[in-house]
This record gives sequence, C-alpha cells and structure tokens, in this order.
Amino acid sequence: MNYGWKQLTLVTLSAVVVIVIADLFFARIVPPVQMREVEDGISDFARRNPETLVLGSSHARTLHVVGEELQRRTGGEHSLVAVPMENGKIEPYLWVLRNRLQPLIDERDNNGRLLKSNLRRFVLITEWWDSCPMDNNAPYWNIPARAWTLTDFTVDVAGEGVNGFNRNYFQNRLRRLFSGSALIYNRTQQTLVERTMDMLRGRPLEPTDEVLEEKSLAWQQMIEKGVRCINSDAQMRALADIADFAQSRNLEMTLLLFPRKPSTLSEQAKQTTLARFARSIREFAAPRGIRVVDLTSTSPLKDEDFMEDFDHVNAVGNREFAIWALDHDLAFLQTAPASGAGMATAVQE
Amino acid sequence: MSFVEVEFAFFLPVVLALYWVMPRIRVLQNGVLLLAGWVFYASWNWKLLALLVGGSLIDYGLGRFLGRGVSADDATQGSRRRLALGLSLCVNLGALAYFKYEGFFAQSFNDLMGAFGLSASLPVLQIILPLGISFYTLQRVGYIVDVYYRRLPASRSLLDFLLFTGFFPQLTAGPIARGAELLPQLEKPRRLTAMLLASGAATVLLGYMLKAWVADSIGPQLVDPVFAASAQYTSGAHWLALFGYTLQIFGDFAGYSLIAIGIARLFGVELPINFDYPFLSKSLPEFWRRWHITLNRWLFDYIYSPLVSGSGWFRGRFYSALMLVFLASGLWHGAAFTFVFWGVMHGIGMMVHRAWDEYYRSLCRKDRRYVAWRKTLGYSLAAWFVTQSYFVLSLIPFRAADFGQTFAFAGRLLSSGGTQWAQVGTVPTLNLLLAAGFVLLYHLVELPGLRRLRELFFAVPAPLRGAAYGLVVIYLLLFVPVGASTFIYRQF
Repeated sequence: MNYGWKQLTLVTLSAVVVIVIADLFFARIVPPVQMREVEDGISDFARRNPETLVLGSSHARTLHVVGEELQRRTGGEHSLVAVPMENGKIEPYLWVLRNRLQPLIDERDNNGRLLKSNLRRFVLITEWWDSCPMDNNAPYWNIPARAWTLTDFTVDVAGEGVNGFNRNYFQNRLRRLFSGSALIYNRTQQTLVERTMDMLRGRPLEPTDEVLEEKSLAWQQMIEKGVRCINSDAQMRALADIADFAQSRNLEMTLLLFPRKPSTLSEQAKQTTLARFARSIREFAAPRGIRVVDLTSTSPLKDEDFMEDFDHVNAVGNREFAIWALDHDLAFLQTAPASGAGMATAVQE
Repeated sequence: MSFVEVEFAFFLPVVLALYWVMPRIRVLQNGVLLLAGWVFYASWNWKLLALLVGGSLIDYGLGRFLGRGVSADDATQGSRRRLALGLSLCVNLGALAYFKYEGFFAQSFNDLMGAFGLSASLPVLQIILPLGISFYTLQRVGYIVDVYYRRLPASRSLLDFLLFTGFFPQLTAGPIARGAELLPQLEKPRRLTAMLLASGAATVLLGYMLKAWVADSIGPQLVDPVFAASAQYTSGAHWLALFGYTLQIFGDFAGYSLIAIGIARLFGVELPINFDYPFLSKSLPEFWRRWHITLNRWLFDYIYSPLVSGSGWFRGRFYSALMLVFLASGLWHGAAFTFVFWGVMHGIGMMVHRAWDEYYRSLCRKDRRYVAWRKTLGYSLAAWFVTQSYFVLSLIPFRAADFGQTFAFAGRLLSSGGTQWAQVGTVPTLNLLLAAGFVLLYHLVELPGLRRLRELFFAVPAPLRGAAYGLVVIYLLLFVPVGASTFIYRQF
C-alpha cells in the first residue's frame, strides 16, 4: 500500500459517493421519517405560550396532531404543545418536567411576569407499561438521556462513567445529526435489510397474515404479563410528584390513557392488566380532582390506523383521532379551563 | 468509552483535529494525547484515574532513580536499585493483586479451610476492577525491569512517560508495548502523511469488521444461547457454539487490537501487532507467538527467560517454567479456577509439544527421512489440525462460568439430550456465514500463494478501491448489530 494525498482523496471521495448513492437508494425503500422528539416538544414549548402542555411517551406525538386540529378549529384561541418522551416511563416524565419544562414554566420576563401566562392545563399521556419498574438489568434505551442537555450528560458521566444508559445521549444526537440518512437514522429500526430483501425477492412489502397474527399474539401476551409489574412504587410515586407539581402551579390536570391497537387487546388483558391499571389511576386521580380519560379500548381507532410496530398511530389514524377526540373526550381542550386555573393565579396566590 | 461505541465517534474526530491542528511540537502533541487519554479513562471512572496516574508517577520516579549512572559505591547502589525495583513491583503487582485477585484468593482460602473443617472468614471484597489494569500494569513493570537491567534508558520527560502509560488507543486493552517500542516515538514530534491516514483508517476499518461485525454477530446468535441453556441444545449446536466462540474471541480481541493500532497510527504512533494470523499455526508455540503476541512475549521476556536462564531452581527446567508461564497467563485472564485450568491445559500442551519436538529431533538425527516427512503437506495438515483442535477445546473452560458448565458442555459435544438448534433466520444465517468466511479469507490471504490477492487489491485504481471501501461501510451499517457490543478482553 502506497498512498499520496491525491490517491487518498480519490479513495475517500469515491467511498463517500458510493455511500451517498446507497443511502439515497435505501431512503427510497425505507424513507427516514422524522419523528417528533422530546427536544422538538421542549423547543416548541420554549417558543410558545400554550394553554395546554402535554407530556407523555412517544404516543404524545398523536397529541401534536390534536394540537394542530385544535389550532385550526379555534383559530389559535386554544393551543397545546405536546412533548413526546420516546419509550418513556413515569419517572423520566417527572425528570423532563422538573429539569427541562419547569424552568420554562416558571420563566419570567424582566418585569417579573410569567412568560407562560396562558398555561392552564397539563395532560399526562400514559398507559400500563409506564407504571412498570425501570429495567435495571439492561441499559435503558433512551430515557431520560434523550431529554438531556450536554450538562446533564456530563454530570451523569462524572458520577457513573459512560454506560449503556447515558450513551443514549450520544446515540440520539448522532441520529438527529444524520436524520436525513436512511442508513444511519433507520439503523435501529431493523427494517432496512428486511425491506430490501423483500424488494429483491419481489414479495409485497406488506406483512403476511401469519406475521400479523404472530405479532398480535406477542403483544397480547406482553400486555397480559404486564399485570405482574404495573403500579410499581417508584413509578406511582413519580406520578404523585407530577400531580403535586401540576397542583402547585394551579394547572388543571388530565390523565389520558392512550388507545391501544384493538387486536393487541385480549379479553384477559382487558380484565386484568388494563382494568387494574385503569382502576388504580382512577383511585389516584379522584381525591386529587384530576380528570381521567381512558381511551385504551374505547377510541374509534381500528387496527389499520396503527403503524407496523403495533404501538403507534399512523398519519391517517392521527388525523381521525384528532377530529374524533376534539368532538368527544378531549372536547374540553376547546373550552376555557375552570376559573382560577393557571399559572397566573398560582402566582397571585 | 469503547472504540466501537457511539461516543467514540464524537471523541476521536475532536482529538484528531486538535492534535493535527497544533503546531508540530512534541510537548503540544503529547499534551493533547495525554489529556485525551485521561478524558478517555475518566469517562469510565474518573476516581480510578488517580490509580493510573499515581502508579505512573511512582514508576517515573523509580525509573529515573534506576536509570542513574553507575557510581563508585557499586554494592550500595546495587542494593538500592534492587529495593527500587522491588518497590515498583510491589506497587504495581500489589494493586493488580488487590483489585483483581483479592476476592478470588480470599474466597479460595476460605473454601480450602472449610474443606479441612476449619473456619476462615477472610473478607471477600467487592471491588471495581480498574479498566485496563492488567494491561497497563504489565507495560509499566516491563519498563521498570528493562530500565533496571539497563536495556532501556529511563524516560527523562514526565510528560512522555505519563503518555507512555496513558496513551488512549492501548490504554484499556493493549497491545502491551515495550518501552523501547513506544517511548522513542513519543520523544519526537509526529508528522501527518497521507500514508499514515490511509493505513490507519484501513486498519481501523479491518478491526471494526472483526470486532463489531464478526464477533458481535456471532456471539449473541450462536454462542450465548447455547452456553446459557446447554441442556436444551443438540451436540451439533454445541460444536457450532464452540467454533462460533473461537471466531468470536478472535474477532473480538484481534479486531479491538487492530482498531487500537489503526487509531495510534492516525496519530503517527506505531503500536506492536497483537495477532499474526493465529489460525495458520501448526504448533502450540507457534500459536502463542501469533495470538495475543504482546502478552505472550511479556510472559516469556519477564517470567520464562529470567527463570530458565537465571541462577535459581528453575534454571534449565524448561518444562516447569512453561507450566508457570501458562498458569500466570490463565490467572492474568481471570480470577477463576476455570482460567487456571485453561492455563494448565496450555502448559501441558506446551510441555507435550516440547517433548515431542525433542523426540522427533532425535529421530531426525537417526534417520534423515524424518526431516523430509516433517516438510510434507500431510504432516503440516495433521500438525495444524491437532494444534487448532486443542486450542478450540481449551476455550470451553475459558468461556464457561464454572467447572460444572465446562464438563457438561464438553460432555454434550459427544452426546446431548437436547433437541434445539441455533435459531437464526435466513438473512442472519447468510450474514454469519459471510462473517465466518471473512475470518477464513483474512487468514488465507496471508498464505504465501495467496498474498498476491492483497497486492492486486492495492493495485486497483483508487476510485474502485474507494468504492469497495464504501460498499464495506454500507454493509457494516446494515449488519453490525446495534447496542450488542461487549468486549470480552476488557474484563481481563
């Protein structure tokens, strides 16, 4: 091997060209879909002065669409910002609330006036899974490193060293840095190879009925098993802390149990995991005056309104859900909150 | 921080840019590298950085003392020098013993006493094993011994010496460099050349393929499930897991070493090679000259040679010294009796080879036909088969959690009541076959008749070569498992 600068440049350039061409090719097969992330929600909240703040797992992305519909219907009179915390649980929601949102919620201008003066409501989107304990045996994918600033990362590394948990900060930054690249952005999705193979084999891209059935069954079993882990102490304590925070800021709070894909819900799951979780949420909310909206199995969303992951609502489903929800269980978002609610009154008190 | 984790993709470009943007002044270049090394280490555990730095400062001081000129009072100086050497060995090996072996020795002692019906309760401490301690300790001990025997002048510059012990590409898992290899390079400023970048980047890419693709694909799919639930798997699955583990451990460590060598080269520093196509070896001594070279040469330089050529009991006792070296190697790999057993296996293997070699030489002296037979393809193939089989089988205790698992696994290679086979889909199977084929090809192109293939690749026009590299990168992006990386040798 004998290289000069010219040779090295040629080799590098041609390698880059090949990679870019391949990336474009793969982007046609599986386009990198830009998901709304916790950072997007936080920066939206920093810029705007909404009436409702929504926090939740990746399901909160659906509420972003609800927010757009709300904006359209009310001409901006009522507004919401949704902050989706991918793969969240209740403890990380509390972390985001305390560390990223609270400074914005309590921010004041030079005259001492609250910048989020319109904020009246707080909606927490949750489901049974969020109340199960954090899995200490495995590096926890994305949370809350996904919501960290560089300072948060540095502090954690100083205490713990770089580990699977805080590594997600970098993982997330890398994905955002290359958000237009199918080869990098879609790496963790494990669909690139499968889709490419499907295409090469000439098979339809849609999964077969057997695959769908297998997946449904796996989801059903997972939810059924969830009865063993729901309502863990740490997560329920975090929920109480979130409720206390909302109360301390005089925010009208709603707990929204997010819809699940119908075929993932077995009768057993409905009667055990989901029923018990919903009951505990109601018991938690009632004495605190928190509204509970349980859409787990009562929304009009059908199987085809969900993505291939069986978990998230697709674009069509989001639109349908937004229209339906604002006509029904989330109609209250189009009305003025109960008198006395809101940051301004909390300050006066 | 590990070379194959995402944070390194942020760390390396920053350090590289800073390093090469600096004026070409040794102090500045070494300063950047030292700072990078400390940040690299602190990112794992900043508190234990003090152990690394403290030990290095002590060895620097002792090294300077040992490196002084010979004075008139030779006898006094000789005893002081021995004292300094002893102090360094105590500090280095004491720290290693405390952090790595305290629990093992204390537990073993308690168990032994218990076996004799005596009660002993030495405290078994749960201590964090400082990252890289097995590697940087040997490097520092090697330096001190070399200076003591005046094979190497003591490093005059504290900065250079701290960098010698804290150079981040080799800090956590070697290659274990000799002072004579690394220090002279650190004493001069480095110049950036296209050749340096190209060769460094190609080596990193090759290492990444072995580590992140070969090892990290094979381990979780073929090896881990069988070792975790051995009784459920067929004999065939056990053989597959064992061969898989052989490829995994080679890919894991040879790959990581190549990445280290490649990264060092990007900074203009040449590290010693650590693996030299070990699966081509036709005898155990040859194997250990090709596998984890820098550890084995350390063991032979600083344990075997002084023992057999010194004036003590071991003088001329080659067999005993071989056994001792491989016991040390076993213990170095891990504080567990399975590793000791592995060391004994290789100690015996080396002794048997030595005895066979002596016997065969005697035959050759009597009848010259034996010399010719040794050069035949049949003899070579048989020797290769015996050597490689022995190594592969020795990996059972190396991988197993305890003796129970070792013997159960070994038994199931012959007969197993299990019915399960490795559960791998079509695409992953093809990927695994390619990964295994890559290791085979990697070795084959080193064979005399096939070396031309490599030369042919480098004779291809640059754009085509670049396109080939591009395709490799694309393949890795598609098939390197995400978040599956563990580094086996890191725990040693």
